[in-house]
Amino acid sequence: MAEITYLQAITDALREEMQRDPRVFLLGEDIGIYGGAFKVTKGLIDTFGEERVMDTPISEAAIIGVAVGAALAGMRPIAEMQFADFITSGFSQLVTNAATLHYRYGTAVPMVVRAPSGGGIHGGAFHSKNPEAWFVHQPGLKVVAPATAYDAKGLLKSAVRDDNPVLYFENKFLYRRIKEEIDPATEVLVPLGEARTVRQGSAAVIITYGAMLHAALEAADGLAAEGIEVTILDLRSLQPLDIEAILESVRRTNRVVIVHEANLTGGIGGEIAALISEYAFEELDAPLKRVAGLDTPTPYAPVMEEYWRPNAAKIARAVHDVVRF
Amino acid sequence: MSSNDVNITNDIKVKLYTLMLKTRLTEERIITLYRQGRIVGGVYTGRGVEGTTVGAGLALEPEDWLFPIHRDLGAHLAKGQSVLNILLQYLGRGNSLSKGKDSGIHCSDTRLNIVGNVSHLGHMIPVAVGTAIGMRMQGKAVVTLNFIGEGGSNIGDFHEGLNFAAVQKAPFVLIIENNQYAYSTPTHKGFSAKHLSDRAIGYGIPGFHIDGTDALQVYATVKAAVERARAGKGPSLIECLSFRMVGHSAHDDAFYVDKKQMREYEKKDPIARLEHLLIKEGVLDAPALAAIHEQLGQEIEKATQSALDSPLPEAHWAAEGLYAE
Amino acid sequence: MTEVEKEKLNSMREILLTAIHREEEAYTFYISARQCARTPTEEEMFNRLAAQEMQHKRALEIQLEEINNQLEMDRALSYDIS
Repeated sequence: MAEITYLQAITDALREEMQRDPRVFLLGEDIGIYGGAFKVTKGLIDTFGEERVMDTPISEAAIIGVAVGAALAGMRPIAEMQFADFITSGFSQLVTNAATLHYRYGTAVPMVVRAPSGGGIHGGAFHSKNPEAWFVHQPGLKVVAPATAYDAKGLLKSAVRDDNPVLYFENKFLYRRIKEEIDPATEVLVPLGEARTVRQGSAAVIITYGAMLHAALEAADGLAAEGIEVTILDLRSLQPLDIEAILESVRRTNRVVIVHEANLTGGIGGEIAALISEYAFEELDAPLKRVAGLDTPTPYAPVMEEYWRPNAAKIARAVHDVVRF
Repeated sequence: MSSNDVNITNDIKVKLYTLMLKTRLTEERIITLYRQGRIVGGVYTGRGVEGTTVGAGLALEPEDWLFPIHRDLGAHLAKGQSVLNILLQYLGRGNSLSKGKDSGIHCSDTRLNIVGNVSHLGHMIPVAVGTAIGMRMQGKAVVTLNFIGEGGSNIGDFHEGLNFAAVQKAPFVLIIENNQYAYSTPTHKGFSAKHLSDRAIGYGIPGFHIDGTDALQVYATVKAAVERARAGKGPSLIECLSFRMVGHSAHDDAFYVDKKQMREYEKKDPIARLEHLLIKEGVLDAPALAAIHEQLGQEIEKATQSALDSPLPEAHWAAEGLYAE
Repeated sequence: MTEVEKEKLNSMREILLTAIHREEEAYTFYISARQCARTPTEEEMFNRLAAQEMQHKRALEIQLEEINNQLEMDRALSYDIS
């Protein structure tokens, strides 16, 4: 079994779902012959044609609005934002139309919006964003953020089959850095709303998702050398959140570090911290810690971006803090 | 196909008249209920715009989709919606189309292919375009019709949606209801263009500027546009000029409106105009007209009573129906 | 090395590719040199030397992958269609 990259896993998921269901189609900027800014959709137009791999004008509001309308008509569109940062141009279509239609009228809106998110690539403030918190806060949307190639494939396939609007935040830092063996013969489906325990250890739990899973793993290796064994919980799904898995991990370890690349204030870490405080307060042997991006736009200069972004060293320090309390 | 090719039979003329009158009488009933305190929230009536809403709505086939906005009761009724369903919506009853989840004229009816609007009116444009494209992808010869006010046409989604429709040659028709006031904003403060229909040039599509108080002209123009769209010739933009004879909503006394202009348009009332024509052409005589009035009056009375007798929604429904299962 | 060769090597990618190639050559050298071993100890020595070259090669490959990743990202950030 050959290893495939996180990016290839996404391409495979798109191809498989388009083959399986003729109602699935793609729309986005430069996704056709060019194959997408990151080449995720490369080759798909040759198989499925330009109607199902639709190159659009630069119009994020229309791209998302058209996806909503097509979903109402019975199709299952997968819209691509070229960079997650540009999703703000279509923000209202998501929170006003996509999110509320089923609540107001019982009408399903089966659509996916793929958005390459995350920094660490010297992209600056407008090519590095992690916008997931805004959308977790809007009732009616679902939000996922895969950290591994397997989950990238499985969550996308599940998102396409979900009858609700799902935001799929793929991480561009991970595109070619993460490789995994995935058997092409098996149907890879990862359910939404289910977290995964990646590592077991009783000293503390690191609750994280996306690119930060790998920083957490790196931190965990270093901590293990000091005799500190941590559990790592990869959330995978942010809305719905696997609250039971979170609380279970707190019961087992009693010390919590929450890590996300998105900036600290108003990030999902606050929501998780509140849930832990409400439902597992007595399980805590130490105040929890959050490790997150700085509360500033992402700077461009590499040395400043490095300072901005969470990394293994910062995560390890936070684990030390909770363990030594 | 041009509007000159559209054959307007006497049957259609009578339907147009009856539906416009039904719209006017229903809205008068809604205002009465509002002043009695039985309807809460926003009430937006379209007095003076019935020629546009009914003329356009009647030009659709049953399989076509209607995306009306708040002053388009005439279009809902022309598409076959019942007065009862409209009143249930306004009275927020549990058996209304939205089960009390959304207000007044914001209602979908999948049996009639009507999609309820959001308050960000221009956001419906890309959605309507998307439905047109989605239907076409499934091989269905369906057209979608959307309305926007002259004020609402200045929002970004107007541009993105119409441009997208034009590029895709989507089977879509957009009506601009230019009733010359957007809340308190007269047109010269909303845009500089002489005719909003001229914007069509920018999208490479046909644009029309017509008398929105002439139901026959509206019907013919929209019908031609709808059939052109169905034949794959792409979208059209139709600006229908009329005058908003009431305030923006029932709470608004419209002190800011040019009274002289309003008096001019009173003479152009769409219902009175068609009534004179029907009498002049010998299609209907005075007794026949009286019979129509009588019949509509009874229908509305019966619907009002039935709606008032209908149960309120269960409070706990507020927490339900967020996602499609 | 010649001026022409130096020119070719002025990008990090080229340097790494050359270095990787050299590690491969060194590996092949030690594996074939193993045949001249007269004792098990000598054979073990050549095996260890060969393994070291493989490790060096792997380290260089990781660096090269990182550079390729960033080049790919820079191309996307530059909206470069060439």
